[in-house]
Amino acid sequence: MGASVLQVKNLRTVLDLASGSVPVVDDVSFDVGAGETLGIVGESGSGKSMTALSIMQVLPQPIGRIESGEILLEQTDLVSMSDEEIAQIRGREIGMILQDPHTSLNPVFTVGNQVIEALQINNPGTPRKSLMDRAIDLLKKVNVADAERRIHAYPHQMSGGMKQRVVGAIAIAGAPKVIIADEPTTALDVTIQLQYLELLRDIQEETGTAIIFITHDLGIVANLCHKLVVMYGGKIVESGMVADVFRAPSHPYTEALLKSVPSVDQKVDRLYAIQGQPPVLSVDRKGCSFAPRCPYAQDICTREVPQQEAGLSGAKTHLASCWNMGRDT
Amino acid sequence: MLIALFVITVIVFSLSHLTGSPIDALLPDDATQQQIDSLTEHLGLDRPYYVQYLTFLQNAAVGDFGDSTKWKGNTAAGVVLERLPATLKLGGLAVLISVVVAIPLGVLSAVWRGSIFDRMAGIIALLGQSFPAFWLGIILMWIFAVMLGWFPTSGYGGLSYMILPAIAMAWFQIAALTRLTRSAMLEVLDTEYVKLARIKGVNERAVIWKHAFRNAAIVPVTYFGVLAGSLLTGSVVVETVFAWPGTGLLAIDAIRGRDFPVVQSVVMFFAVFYLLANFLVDVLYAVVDPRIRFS
Repeated sequence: MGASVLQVKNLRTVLDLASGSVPVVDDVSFDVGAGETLGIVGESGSGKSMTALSIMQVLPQPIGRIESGEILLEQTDLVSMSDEEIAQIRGREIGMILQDPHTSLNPVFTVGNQVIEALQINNPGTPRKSLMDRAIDLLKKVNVADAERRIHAYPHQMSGGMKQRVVGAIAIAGAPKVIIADEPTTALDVTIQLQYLELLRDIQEETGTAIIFITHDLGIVANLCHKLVVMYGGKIVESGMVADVFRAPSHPYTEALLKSVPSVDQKVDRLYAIQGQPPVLSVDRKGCSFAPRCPYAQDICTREVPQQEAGLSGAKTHLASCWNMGRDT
Repeated sequence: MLIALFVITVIVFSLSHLTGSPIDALLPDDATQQQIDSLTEHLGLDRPYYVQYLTFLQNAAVGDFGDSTKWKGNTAAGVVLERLPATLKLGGLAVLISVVVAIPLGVLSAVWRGSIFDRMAGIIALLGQSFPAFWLGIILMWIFAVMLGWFPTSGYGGLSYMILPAIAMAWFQIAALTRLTRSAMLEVLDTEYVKLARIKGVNERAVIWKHAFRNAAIVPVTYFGVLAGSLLTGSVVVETVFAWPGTGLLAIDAIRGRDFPVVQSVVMFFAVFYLLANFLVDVLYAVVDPRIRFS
């Protein structure tokens, strides 16, 4: 694992709503190196997807904007780039796989057309015939069976798993240094999910690309990721190497997430669920966002935001933000 | 389509008989009863209505709507065909203006939603939908022909004669088409595949015109059928205002003269044209959207 390819520093993204500027990504920092996989975990509305959209700078317009922070791609800051410059980064340097393959391919173009378009952007001036051959190779690489025929198919003629493979092919068309996968398996059948994860791992082994994997499934994180950040209410509440965080979860939210994963070995009457609702976006928030649902909450938790401290595993990279870290776990 | 045609023939036949007898229009007021009877018999108006209808249908099938009673010595269909090019020229120009103005206006207002441009386009659309075509025609004529003298006021001629009536016909369509295009584009611009196109690094112009517009186009294409139809009906009003010798003006003259055969053939031509336009729309659907092609 080399030096970090993508580094996010104190990123703050807000949505300008009628009620004011609501922070959806708040002081988020992480980095990911070549050949490394970073998992971003959290519930719906925790800011995972907004973090990804901030990196790509395709936030919902006109309400979304990056307020402060840096996104460094090999030392080059993407936040300060113009629209034209960032368009050069998208697809070439950073690829992305969206959540729902049924909606992320354009219904009026053949999948071949859409893969070729991605190739064309990265290799302008290449004759169409050779792009076609390369598109077929790409589809074969992502295990689309019968690629020569399928390349002429429209998205609606393919299954969800096949479509997501095509989206994967588009993401790797520019041989990007970083691939962001935003819950790419959520819309797929369980058996297909596993195949897809293996595919991602194979691609990473072959190309040495960094992967940012966004999910709410800790099982996937344990399988696929090296590093992990846990997000809650737009903030990172805990981060570290996967092994350290799983061994010694230091934030009550991480602990609760791990407890909610059903185990095959133990038979339980009722699956564990975290009490309460995820936080509603609001302009003014005080204290720790998790406090209202936290079993260990004290007075200070609702008043002041906790700072990052060393996590319970003792590892150097393991950090968590909680007023109550010394609790009995 | 055939059923639609059948219904149209029944309506055309019935309506034209509700407007009164052609005898009154054809003969002088002091005509004798004998003259009336002989003409009635000659035109077949003494036969039962269903016989008249079947005869009409039989002849209509081969494009024979009888002889014009007003323009003596011409067949009704011939009279209409003679005027048709004028209407098609004017209508074609109006369609061209509508599409060329409305599509970019709609697409760009969606892209720049909430901007000054979007608001101006909204005002243009609102005005267009509020002005009746005949009023707009008169105002345009007054400003650009009478006051400024840029265009001839009325009559038949080249492009300069066509511009004012074409704008009068097109404005309402521009308004409707702009709003439809805008709302369709807004919907499409929010989709995941447009997001993915941006993520792929496609430049913004191709995102809008290739990825988004191709999907949004189905809405303006649907409207095209309505557009073609209402330009013909609109031609009745606008051609009258501008004294443009097309089928619209012909229809008015024929109705005034109780010229049943001509009225019937005008309406039949309009109906067939409308059906053809909608058939064209169905074909265009398949061209635009592959999901329709395969299902």
